[in-house]
Amino acid sequence: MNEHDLERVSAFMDGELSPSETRHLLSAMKKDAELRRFWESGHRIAAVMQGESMLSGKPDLANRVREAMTAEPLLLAPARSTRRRSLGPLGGLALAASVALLAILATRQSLQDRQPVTLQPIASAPPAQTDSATHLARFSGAPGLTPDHPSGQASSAASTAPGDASRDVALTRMTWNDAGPAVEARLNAYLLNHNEYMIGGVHGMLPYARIVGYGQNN
Amino acid sequence: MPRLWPLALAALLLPALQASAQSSGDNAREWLQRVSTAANTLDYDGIFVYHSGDWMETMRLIHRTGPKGTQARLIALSGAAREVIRDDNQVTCILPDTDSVLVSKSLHPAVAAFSVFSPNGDFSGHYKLQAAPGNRVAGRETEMVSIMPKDQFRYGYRLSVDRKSGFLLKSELLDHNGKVLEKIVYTSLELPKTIPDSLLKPGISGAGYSWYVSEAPTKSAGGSSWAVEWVPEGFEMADSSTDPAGFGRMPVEHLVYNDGLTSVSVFIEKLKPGNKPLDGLSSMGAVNAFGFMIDGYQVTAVGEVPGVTVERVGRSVHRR
Repeated sequence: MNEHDLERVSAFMDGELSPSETRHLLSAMKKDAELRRFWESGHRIAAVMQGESMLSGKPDLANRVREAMTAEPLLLAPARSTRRRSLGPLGGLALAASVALLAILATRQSLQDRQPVTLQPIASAPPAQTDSATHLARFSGAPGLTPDHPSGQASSAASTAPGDASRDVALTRMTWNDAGPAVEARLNAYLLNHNEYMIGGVHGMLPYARIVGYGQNN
Repeated sequence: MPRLWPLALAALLLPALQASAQSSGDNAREWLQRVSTAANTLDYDGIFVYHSGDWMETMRLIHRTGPKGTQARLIALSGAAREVIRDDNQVTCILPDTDSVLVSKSLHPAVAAFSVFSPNGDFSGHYKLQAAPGNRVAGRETEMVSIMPKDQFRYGYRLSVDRKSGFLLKSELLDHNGKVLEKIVYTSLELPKTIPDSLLKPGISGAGYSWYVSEAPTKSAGGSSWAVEWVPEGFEMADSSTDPAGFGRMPVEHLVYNDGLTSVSVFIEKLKPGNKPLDGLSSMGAVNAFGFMIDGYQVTAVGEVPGVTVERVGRSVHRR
């Protein structure tokens, strides 16, 4: 790691690297843990220089980058998560915001289509109802979003170590400030409805970016 | 009278400067048109970083138009491998971190693309448009288009547009001090001749996941018994409806105002006794909300606008 690396990292943050330079940097980061940590601090520097607030409480950003980089093709291959877990009530609450925002997609159709939508499975396996589903529905605060099979069969999700639930509570996410959970649930519901009118503006993609990025587990 | 020279010079130059500002504005409009066209017609495969305050995510977006309509796939590159896949008919969100899949019919095909730039009507009365050569982004030469508000009631935008393709490579949301609130920056972009079907298929089957499907709420429009006395100049009512009750909530009256680039919503809801109201300002990222109570009703203004705007709009609400 040298001064040149610092420049490349900050150039990457600003989208100023060419595709081949990006590939080089990413493969260098793949091998160099120090460089990955540097990438994280590089991001902090960039944030401060741009007058954005300091990053805090995200110590493993560098590892998330590594995860992204070790996957293929072109940086990633979404890995099927085989581990199943239940979500305690707190886990459900932590997920509420992310599910509420996901429902942006689900609720926006209401403007054009008043017919109930029938499920069109894109996979051959039948949908399975899990504990997490129940919690998601209970805590989502998202009108119009219900589990497909409210009385579906139980699954292996029920048997999970408590440690998993506590991990879920630690999900980092953007939250409404100066608002308690009850107020926040209401604001999330409002935001869903409001977002129906946001898409198509300058930041047409932003609501989607929030969806995919929202509540990501570190 | 040498001291007057600068003045005289300025007098001579002023019309030229004005003309140049004018043409920069026209130029900016042309670039915005190109962005809009590119967003809806280009086939691309790109990686971008999304920043919001101290929040940051890296994502990959694959977009294709063709005989099968518009198809797009958005994938989170860090954290859980979340995906959103959409075409003209359906939106599918796959969430491996919660073992769930959300399916919904797509909106109107006109907004089926992920990366839409579609300003609604003429907003130039309230924003100042400028275009100037920008820095390289993702290895490409850009034109920087700035859309700055003329008052303190809206946010500004700074866009870096690929000179060759019109692709929006970088887009920043700014407050009136020029501070960046949110941004999307492409770190790499490919514009391949063809995008294979395999790249648009989900990486996860969704087998064994919980599937959710949206039930479309019915919306009923009706005369409102509430009045919003003030919105910033240029905002006009875009819609008014009664959103259905949900999650133990009463029906919510919803009024929407739009200035061509952004929107403010006003929600009025009878609060059940014991429910905690929002009293004052709250924010999440670039979204601000202001709430207060009138006669047992919670009034809340929400929008991707500065706090001062939602506060003033909210305070102007009263019963007819």
